Amino acid sequence: MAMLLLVGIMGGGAIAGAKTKKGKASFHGTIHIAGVASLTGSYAFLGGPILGGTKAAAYLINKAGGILGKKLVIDPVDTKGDPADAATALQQEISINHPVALIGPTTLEIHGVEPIFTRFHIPDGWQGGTPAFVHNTNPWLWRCNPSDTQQTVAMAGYAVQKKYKTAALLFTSAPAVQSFEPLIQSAYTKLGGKIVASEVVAPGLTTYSSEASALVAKHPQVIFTQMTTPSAAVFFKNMESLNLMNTPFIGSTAMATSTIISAIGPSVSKNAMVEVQGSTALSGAGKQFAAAYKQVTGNSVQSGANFAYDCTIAFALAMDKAKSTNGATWNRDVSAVSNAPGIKVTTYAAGLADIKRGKKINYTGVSGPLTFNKYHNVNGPWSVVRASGKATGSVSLIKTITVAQIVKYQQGKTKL
Amino acid sequence: MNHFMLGIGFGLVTAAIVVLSTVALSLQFSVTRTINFAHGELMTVGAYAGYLVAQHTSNLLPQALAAVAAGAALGWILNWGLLRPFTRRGASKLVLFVLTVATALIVQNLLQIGFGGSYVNYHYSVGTAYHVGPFLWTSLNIVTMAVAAVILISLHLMISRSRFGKAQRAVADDLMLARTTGIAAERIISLTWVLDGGIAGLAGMFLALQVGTFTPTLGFSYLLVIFSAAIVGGIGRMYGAMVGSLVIGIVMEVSANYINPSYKETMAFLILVVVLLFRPQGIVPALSEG
Repeated sequence: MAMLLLVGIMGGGAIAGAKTKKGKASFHGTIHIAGVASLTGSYAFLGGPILGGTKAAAYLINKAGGILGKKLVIDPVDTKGDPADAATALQQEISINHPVALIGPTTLEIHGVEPIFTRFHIPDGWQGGTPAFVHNTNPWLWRCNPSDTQQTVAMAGYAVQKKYKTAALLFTSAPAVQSFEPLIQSAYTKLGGKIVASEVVAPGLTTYSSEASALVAKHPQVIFTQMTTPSAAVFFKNMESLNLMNTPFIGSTAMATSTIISAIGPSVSKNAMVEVQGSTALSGAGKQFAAAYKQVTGNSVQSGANFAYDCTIAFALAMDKAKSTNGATWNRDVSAVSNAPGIKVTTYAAGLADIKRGKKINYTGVSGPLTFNKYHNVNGPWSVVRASGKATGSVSLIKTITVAQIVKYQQGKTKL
Repeated sequence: MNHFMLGIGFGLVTAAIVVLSTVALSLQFSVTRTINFAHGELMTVGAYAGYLVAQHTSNLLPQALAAVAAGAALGWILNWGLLRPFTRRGASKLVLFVLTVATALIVQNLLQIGFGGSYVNYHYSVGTAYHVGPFLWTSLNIVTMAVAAVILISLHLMISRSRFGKAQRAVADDLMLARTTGIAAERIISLTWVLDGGIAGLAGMFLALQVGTFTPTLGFSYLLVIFSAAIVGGIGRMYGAMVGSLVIGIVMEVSANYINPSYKETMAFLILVVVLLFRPQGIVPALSEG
């Protein structure tokens, strides 16, 4: 019942937003897309941006007239970061709202929901990073963000740029987090770096003082990290209180969310760490996206939201092109509206107009070109960011690592 | 820097947090013989109460008083409003246990409605780190251990010297006999729940300060460690709870230097299994306190 109430309130909110801007409703019916994400619990920091990006896209889609004349409603489906909870919540969502597409979840819950959306032939704009799907063959699964393999290369590449020759690894013992460890180890050693320590800490403990002192005792020049929010909060608090904060950190995308930055402390995060995240340089219609995101969430754009946004827009354009909301029909059009060749469009409204004119479009998202390969994976540039130190947990861009640089690092052409 | 001794020092801090809650749990169990699965929620409401007061003042004392009051209030409500009516109707221990599980879930959900499911930040200036002999402690660590020590000594004095403590022991030994000798057993049980809640609330506040950020599942997530410490020491024995907390806290922290730290919580449960195998009554023998 609570879920129904939540769905009603939040879905209604998205519609209300469209009405406010358009003055009066001119839609005939509604269609639903489910934002499948961890909205509560330890991994809520991952789910918030996914839902926010999806809702921002829905806001702009509805402002442009909706999908095939229908209002797009985003249904929040809370996975609680758990595959079993995700499966139950998604089945409930499908039986009640019959969503035409899913956005999310992350690596944590994909194995719980993949059999379901595959069975129902519902395309999914997945937001996970695990390298397990680099050679994905599921036709219903589309990964709109670059994989962790690329992210670890970007993190290692940045360490090489800073000439850090020795590094330590620090991860929380959780499936989605630990898949990162061998990747960063491989990427960094391939570039000539040496791993001198590796700590995998149990989540949710009251102190990590022993682990912190042991890690620093190995004198790494840099620490690569990806942690859950509570673990990061305690670990950095312990590091700070024990005066061990002299070693710089390079964090993953997860470490750049406002939730985790606020938990660590904005000033602590600013002084201690840079984060490598999927580029939020907001190319194309970035300003429009940022404004829409602010409109629907009240916050500035969070890390990862851009990918969810792009996925939603690409799916909506695919439905427009196929003139159908049936997943089995429009699924094949996702690549058609996203990949070159075609007229480059950066907004839903522009894409819709060109589709109506019978043109082939090439949607270029706020996260950059959304070019899917045959495995439904995309490449992308990466941003190195640092917490601004503000209470909002916002980050500011330090530099961008381009796709070309990533390729060089992957080939081992740049070394320490 | 000797990592073994550092580990002992960090273990003492962990033990100080665990011991407050474990002693409260043991004291409540010894008097009421009810397994309280909502014990973690007594801690959680204490944490939120401290957090709310911290929005208005950085002084730790009012935060602590609020935490004690909130925990005590929930303890009283739990007994008076829920367990006592069922006890009067002759409900079995299993029914009471299930009631506490339900209470835990209800309180978690109420807190989630009130504060949301996301993390709230509860930061307190930890000050600088001090080298005390071979140990490395922050001022918050030292305050936590000092408060734990004061509470434990006070509890010891209360149980061994006061009329209330004697009455508690009498009720713990034999409820019917205590009643026939004129002890207001219901009142003693009610006050024990209040005392349990107050101490657990305070423990919750220190736990929240230690971790810096928490959700409505804060106490629930530490329940297994608390039960482990209580069982290792001897469930229902206050002094056993102290020893159990010390063992669990130190083993967890010291082991992190020698094994993969992600298994340090597993070490606590390993000790629990070993103790249950070879000394199921706990490592501290039954004393007169019950």
